[in-house]
Amino acid sequence: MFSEGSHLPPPVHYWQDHRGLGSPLAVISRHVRKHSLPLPDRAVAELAARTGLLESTVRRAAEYYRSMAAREDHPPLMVCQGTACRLAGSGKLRESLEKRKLSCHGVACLGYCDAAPALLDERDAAYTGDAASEFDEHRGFSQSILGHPLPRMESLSATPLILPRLLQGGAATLKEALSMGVYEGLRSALQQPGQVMLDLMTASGLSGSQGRVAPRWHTCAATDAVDRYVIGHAHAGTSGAVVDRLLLERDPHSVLEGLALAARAVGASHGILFIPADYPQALQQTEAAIREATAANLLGRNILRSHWSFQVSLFPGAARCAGGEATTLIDAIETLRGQARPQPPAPEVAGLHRLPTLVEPLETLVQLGTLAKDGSEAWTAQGTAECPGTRVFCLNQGFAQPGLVEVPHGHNLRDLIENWAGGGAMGSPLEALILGGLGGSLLGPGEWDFPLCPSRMTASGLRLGNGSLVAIAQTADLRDVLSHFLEYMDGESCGKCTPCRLGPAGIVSLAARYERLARVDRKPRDATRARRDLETLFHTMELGSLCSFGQDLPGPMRRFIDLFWDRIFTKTS
Amino acid sequence: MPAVDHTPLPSLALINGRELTVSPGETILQAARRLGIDIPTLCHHDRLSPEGGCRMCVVKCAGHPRPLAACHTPLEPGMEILTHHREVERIRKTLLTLQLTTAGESGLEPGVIREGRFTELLVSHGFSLPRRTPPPVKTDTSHPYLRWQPSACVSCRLCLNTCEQIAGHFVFGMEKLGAASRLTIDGKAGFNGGACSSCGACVDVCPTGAISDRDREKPRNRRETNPAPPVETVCGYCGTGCRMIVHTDKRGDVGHIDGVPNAAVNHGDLCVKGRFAHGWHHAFDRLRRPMLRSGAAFSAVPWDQATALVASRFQEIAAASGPDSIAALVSGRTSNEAAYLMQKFMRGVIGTNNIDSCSRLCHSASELALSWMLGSGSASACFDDIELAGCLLVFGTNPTESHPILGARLKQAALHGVPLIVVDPRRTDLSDFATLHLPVKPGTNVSLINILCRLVLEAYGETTAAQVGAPGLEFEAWRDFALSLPVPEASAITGVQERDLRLAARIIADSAPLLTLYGAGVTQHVRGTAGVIALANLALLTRGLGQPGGGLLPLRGQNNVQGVSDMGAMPDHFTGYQPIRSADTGTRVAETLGFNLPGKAGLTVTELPDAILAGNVRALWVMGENPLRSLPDTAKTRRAFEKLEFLVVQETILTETGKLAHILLPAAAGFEIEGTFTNAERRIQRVRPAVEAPGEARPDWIIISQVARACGAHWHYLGPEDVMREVGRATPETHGGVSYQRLEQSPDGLQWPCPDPAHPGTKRLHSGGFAPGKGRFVPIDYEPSPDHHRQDYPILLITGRALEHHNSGGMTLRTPNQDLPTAQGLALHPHDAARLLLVDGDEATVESAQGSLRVRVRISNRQLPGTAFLSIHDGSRPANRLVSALPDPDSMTPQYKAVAIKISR
Ligand code: SF4
Ligand code: SF4
Ligand code: SF4
Ligand code: FES
Repeated sequence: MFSEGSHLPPPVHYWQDHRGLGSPLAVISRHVRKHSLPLPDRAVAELAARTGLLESTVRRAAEYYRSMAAREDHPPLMVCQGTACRLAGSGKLRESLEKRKLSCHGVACLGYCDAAPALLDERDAAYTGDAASEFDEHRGFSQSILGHPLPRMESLSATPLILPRLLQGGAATLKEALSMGVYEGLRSALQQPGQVMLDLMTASGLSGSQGRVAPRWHTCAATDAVDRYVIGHAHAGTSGAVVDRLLLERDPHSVLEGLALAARAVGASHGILFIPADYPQALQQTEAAIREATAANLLGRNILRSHWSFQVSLFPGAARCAGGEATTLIDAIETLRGQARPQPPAPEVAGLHRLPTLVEPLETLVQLGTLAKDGSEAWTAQGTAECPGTRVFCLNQGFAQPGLVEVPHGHNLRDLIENWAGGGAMGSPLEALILGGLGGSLLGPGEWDFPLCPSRMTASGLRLGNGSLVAIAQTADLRDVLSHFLEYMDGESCGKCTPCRLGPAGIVSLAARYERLARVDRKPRDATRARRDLETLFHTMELGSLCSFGQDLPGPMRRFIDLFWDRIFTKTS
Repeated sequence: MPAVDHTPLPSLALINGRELTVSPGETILQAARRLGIDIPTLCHHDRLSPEGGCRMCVVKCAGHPRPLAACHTPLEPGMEILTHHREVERIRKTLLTLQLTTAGESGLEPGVIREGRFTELLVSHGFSLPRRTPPPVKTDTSHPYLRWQPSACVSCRLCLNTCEQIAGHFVFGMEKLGAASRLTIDGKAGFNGGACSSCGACVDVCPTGAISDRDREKPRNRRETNPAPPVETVCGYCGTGCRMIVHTDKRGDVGHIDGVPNAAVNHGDLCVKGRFAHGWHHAFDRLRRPMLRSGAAFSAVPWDQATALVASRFQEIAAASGPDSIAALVSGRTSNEAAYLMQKFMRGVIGTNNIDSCSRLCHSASELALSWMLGSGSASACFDDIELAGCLLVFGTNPTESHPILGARLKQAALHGVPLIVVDPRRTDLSDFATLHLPVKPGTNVSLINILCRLVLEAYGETTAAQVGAPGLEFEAWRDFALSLPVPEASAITGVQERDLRLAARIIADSAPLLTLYGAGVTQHVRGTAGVIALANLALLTRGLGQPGGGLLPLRGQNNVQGVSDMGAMPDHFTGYQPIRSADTGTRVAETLGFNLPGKAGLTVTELPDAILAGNVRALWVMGENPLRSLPDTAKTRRAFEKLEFLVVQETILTETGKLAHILLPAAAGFEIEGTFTNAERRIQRVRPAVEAPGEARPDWIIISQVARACGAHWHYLGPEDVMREVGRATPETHGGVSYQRLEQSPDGLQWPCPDPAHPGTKRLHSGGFAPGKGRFVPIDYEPSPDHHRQDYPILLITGRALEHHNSGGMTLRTPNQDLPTAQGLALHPHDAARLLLVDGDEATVESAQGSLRVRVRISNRQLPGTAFLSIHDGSRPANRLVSALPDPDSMTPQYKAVAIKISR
């Protein structure tokens, strides 16, 4: 077996930037969006020549992007089917568009939750709110919201750590980024060994939705291996992608700097940004940012004339990969399949191409520049003892004042809802909240009094998830929300493990049985039995699923059914 | 009394209340098996990395909030596992219920599932078997062998993982998500799409019969109801020597074939030829009765008459023109026993050394060079070294096509990080997985290897003879020679960039031990012997010979081409490579076998046509060979064979050569005989009859014995076993300890040398050092081939085989393999094609100094510019018509791998 320091050339993987032309997969995904599948041989050959990939790989990649492929050379409309948009009627919208013979590709969260519903037309222009609901393919452009206005954004912390640049309007170009101090952290980190960055991380106690991040970094750095990877991924979950979208569109350099710093800390030589292919704008901005940064020697070979090299590749992800499950992302990059992998080994030990791999959300990455530049005080000075630092919450259009808000960990949820967001839209009281996406926590109105601290929440069986907050109003179509739960799980399950793959279908057939029982005059015994069967199914999904996606989703779903049982099943009868 | 402590010891765990010691890395499933506890699984397979998808293996673990999947969770000290707790049993049942009840979404139709592993799970969990229903979609039968019935698929992905992790192909994918997710086969192209090698490994693992094959889907009247137990034997195709189990059907014909699960060579795997291409055994045109030619037609004769005729004609001719006017040719497909008897017949009964085999056409260069330099002409290493190697050098062979099972093992080794260097003018399947591919210009191997030696020497720094190992004889002189070779010149000669040459040397120097696998791409050259010598120098220099994971592994083409040479079917060697010129050999033969060994070396097969045309050879006995297709310069060969006064062809089918025969003797084929085959790693394995030979066809050894007796020899062998005993007596050093009794006991056979009955056989040669005077370095310089730089014939043609077919195609073309998509035709690089104004599918004329051929052109960027490739299987366009009869002067092997040609429209 070959050992460390051998003279073997590192293998070149298909997803890497070939011939310095940028992401080969971005080229293919864009092509597929405009052309129907299967691609004719000539197109495959051309793409192969352009990207440097084998023809068979081009074919496989094209298949991977099938869901967004053009139909009869017409790019489909991308209609957001995230929770926020669903509640704002995007399910009906999609149906009516399809009735008008417009082909639609349903996407879980385009990142406009504050202005739901949202859709992208065939030229990838965004339409939100009424413009989306009244979308008219003939009026087209004029009506769209190119340069969509920024959502309401605020920080309840004196020293915001995630949003500082966005709060100032963003820094899309390298020039703007430099003027805001981006890359200074990297510059100073390059003067010191990577261990310093690792120590800073430990000292800061920086926390994600699972609690502190540093222990994983230590494992990754300590694992014996020839090389390592870091993956930054945008978007996990059914709603609340606003912050990811904005960071990529308006603060991409902080993301890149963070990726480099994480790599520096654990000793990785390659970073990958996993960005959903249906964020066309974000994809373009990030690509441009990588080009600019590489040209300025802030990425690539011998960064800033140091001995350290670090390369970033862009991976446009076709499917949502089980809500961003780390092993699923890794599998998508490696095999273009995107299926969860058993753990152990954890990705930090053996991830992408069996090398130690760090998978971090963008929100973590954008904090690293400041950490490297200014040290860890800003973290330790706010948040809770268990989880220092801050967190961004994204409140959807169901609140009176939707938007993005950065708060120190430990902030009370009720305060956020009632004071910052002003309660339900148009003053109507809320039935429930979904915190952190469908796999997060479903909270009835009496359950809002707790501190938003990941560690404390985990202890009491709650999940912070991706930090999105979706309001369920009294007027909400609860049956549609239940179908949304099921469609989401079925549509995002990687399909590998039986409980998660077939569970939603099982629930659908049980629910149908209920409905029959509810309509035909009920024999209470049958209803009890059906309900017990449903519970067995939830139980099997929760306990039996391979990855956290399948394990987490049944909880909120069961809670939802428990809360609204009668209203879901008696209305129609 | 101290209180009894019930917590298990630190290194202990409990499964169902039984204590066991934890061994690191072991999964709960493996540990439970150790205790004989069975945990149900669906997606698990011992040879695959855990999939973790079916979740049937969940077990309860005290203190863990959720159950653990036994197949991928390591057992840790202190764990208390309950494998059949109520909670996990309920989960298992729910999972099976889900499979059965969500048919609408998942596409599964329970009534289509074939009885097997999945239905066993159903039954053991208290479900009744689903009532059989016709499949809602028709089974896809577009592939000649493989069958696909999507409604039986339970999405376990065993096929996918097997294909990737064992077969080394990447045929399957998954499309869509959730319940709509489906297995896809080669995109959507199906098994015929080009990525699948039709090895059938996925059929073996599919628990539901969703993927199946033609042999298992036979019509009812051909189902396997034969009470006779299946027979274990060895594949009759290539030199890998896979062990297989032949099942027979009602009529006693071959039913279906499985690999022997734990066989040392193939671990239960087989390739398309081994598993599926057995139909030719029952082909309608098998030779069934001895046939005598009268004029242009053949007529059947009884065996007695046939053997008597052969004997009397040989005796007449020998009496008139001397024994050397008779020659025999043995095929690499016959058993050891038959090959032994044939050479004994020629030497002991006729009295000539005119015996040769098809080994001449591929690997006699190896035998010559390696025995001269190292003391033995065979593979020093064994197949298990592939997984142990530090670096793999695959030189002039395309094992994924020619030796598929080895190809798969090599690919897996490369995928697991063993550096792999592929030297081949063509981009091969394996070269896509290689660390480095060196596209060498055909015929320049010697220069390439020499320069690698030089660069490795440099990488080693100050290398002394002492470091190279004690018997590094003549090292200094060779080193000086190697170091004098200029790198730029070698780069110009071989067409390989300097940078790549240096990198290759670096990798070789850094990753000992080096295992070199090479094939006909080295030997089938005018300078074939020199190529092998150069490779042996490199092997000596890198000190891998005799070490685990190192050494030389020439890949022998046919199933028993190794054995046929071992048995002395060579004009200059008796069994076990005992030189006939040596007095010792003569004495031993006289003492043990009771005849005088003729002293004059015989003719090689390459010299045969000339000898016939010159009138020196008048009669020929061809056993299982088709020289009209395999020899170079087809036109001359035909002339020679037509001139023969008496041609005996002993064959299973009527070949081109057979059509010229004066008498045809019907022989039993691979699945019909008793005997032994020796594979490319010197492994002698038992071959057993599974089906009956058609008509009056007989095993080779019986035919030869009868002819010998008709000639008056006192041969009375009771069976092949008896023959092997005699081989042992005549060749004690290598075969002395080989007996059928031992082969019965150790089913994976014995690797020779095996000198006595207590000897376990030899995995690697030279592990105890070289024989005295051997292990020497030989400086050998590159010389251009006569086919290089010819203005008149500017393109170099390589001939070779394709996966689906075997040699001249006599066997495989009588099976559905003929329907497999094979890359036929002349492969040309796009640049050359453009220059010649040819497009894909055009007919073109290929011309060499020997002859010409009309072929269809296939454009392929896997071809090196300036070269072309033609496969050898197509009988209507015999590639050998182009090959020059001018062989390597040392080994007498023709240059099949670099033929100067020109192409015109
Ligand atoms: S037959 Fe072999 S190569 Fe073809 S799909 Fe099955 S396992 Fe893969
Ligand atoms: S075809 Fe067979 S082996 Fe492959 S996934 Fe389906 S059931 Fe499993
Ligand atoms: S690899 Fe060779 S020996 Fe094995 S099954 Fe295939 S042809 Fe037969
Ligand atoms: S056998 Fe463990 S998950 Fe399938």
